[in-house]
Amino acid sequence: VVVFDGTGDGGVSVDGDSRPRTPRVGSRRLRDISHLYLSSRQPAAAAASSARRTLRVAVVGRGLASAETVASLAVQWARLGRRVVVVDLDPALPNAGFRLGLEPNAYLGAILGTAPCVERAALGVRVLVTPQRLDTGAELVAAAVAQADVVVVRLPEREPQALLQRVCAALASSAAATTMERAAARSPMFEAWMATARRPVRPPRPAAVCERVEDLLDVAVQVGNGAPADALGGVPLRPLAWGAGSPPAWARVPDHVPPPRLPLALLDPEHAVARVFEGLAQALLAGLGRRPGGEARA
Amino acid sequence: VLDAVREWFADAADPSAAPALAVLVDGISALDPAPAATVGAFGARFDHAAETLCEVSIFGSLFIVRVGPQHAVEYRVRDVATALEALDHVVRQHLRAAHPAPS
Repeated sequence: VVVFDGTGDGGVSVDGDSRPRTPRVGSRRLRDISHLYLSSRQPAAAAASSARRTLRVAVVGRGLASAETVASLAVQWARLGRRVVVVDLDPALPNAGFRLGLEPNAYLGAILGTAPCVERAALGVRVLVTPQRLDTGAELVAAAVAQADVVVVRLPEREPQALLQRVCAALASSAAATTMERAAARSPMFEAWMATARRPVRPPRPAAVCERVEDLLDVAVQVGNGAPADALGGVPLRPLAWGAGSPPAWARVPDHVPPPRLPLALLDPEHAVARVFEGLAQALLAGLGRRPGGEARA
Repeated sequence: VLDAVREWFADAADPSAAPALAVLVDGISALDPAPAATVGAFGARFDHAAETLCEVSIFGSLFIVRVGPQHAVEYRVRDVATALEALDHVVRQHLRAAHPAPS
């Protein structure tokens, strides 16, 4: 341990070593400056894990390609150890629950008119059944979303924002509400500092108001070769081409014959299609989807 | 066309079969891309890409759903649970018809 006396000519040893020492001139290591953002009460690792960051991805498209994309990404994230919640707002069949292996009475909940609930699908992926009727099960859905590491929302091409508004309360309940919390959601270092600076008992927060789609979603993936959807405000839109012959896109899924029930990412992890979705899941987790110039080569 | 099928179902079916029939027709209506529907003496038939998805025949409170181009699987539906099984098979058949394996 060295105590500097402020004279600029070295330090005074207090641990028995009497040799004069000079202060280091080069770049400082992280532990040298950790006191700037960490308190003495909580180590850095615990602080970082206490404040979870949730990735919120929308998949916009139609038909099987959209459902397959949602299911494959959810499977890949589950393989990476993330807790995944799928919110399927597209009433068209086949839907994400079908592709994730739910029983008919679960994935056809919208047709049966069942109350909203959370079903566990393949690899522990949680699928919200009947998310359109959130008036009767909002707390249940909000709790599932709050505990998730990744939330995938499937939206139709037509008027996606109107459908998104139905679940905005559930999505926004755990979203960052203040400027400080939004900054913490984008910076791990600031997030670690926030975890130590926050008061032990947080005051109850008023119900979230959904004014901006950007606060609900981190990135949107548009599946298919159609015109880009522009109804999601400022959410970064990443086109995902489906099959050969499609125009250049953020990524491309090769031509394949889908299995009748489960996605290829679950049945054959070594398949080229599964590899594409594995890369996309990792890229989205790493935040490539938020960068304007981010490119994922598939 | 699906509205015409609904009307025909409403006329031909017994009221006790209405809930199960509604589940089946609503599910087929939600398929994307939408199948083509035909009403004839045999009942109602739903096709996609020149391939038959299923054929529905009504006998009072019972209706029979034959799934597949060869009508290989037959569901005798009296309740919603069986209608769900038939609809699940129709959805899988629709996926197979929309994305055929290369020969």
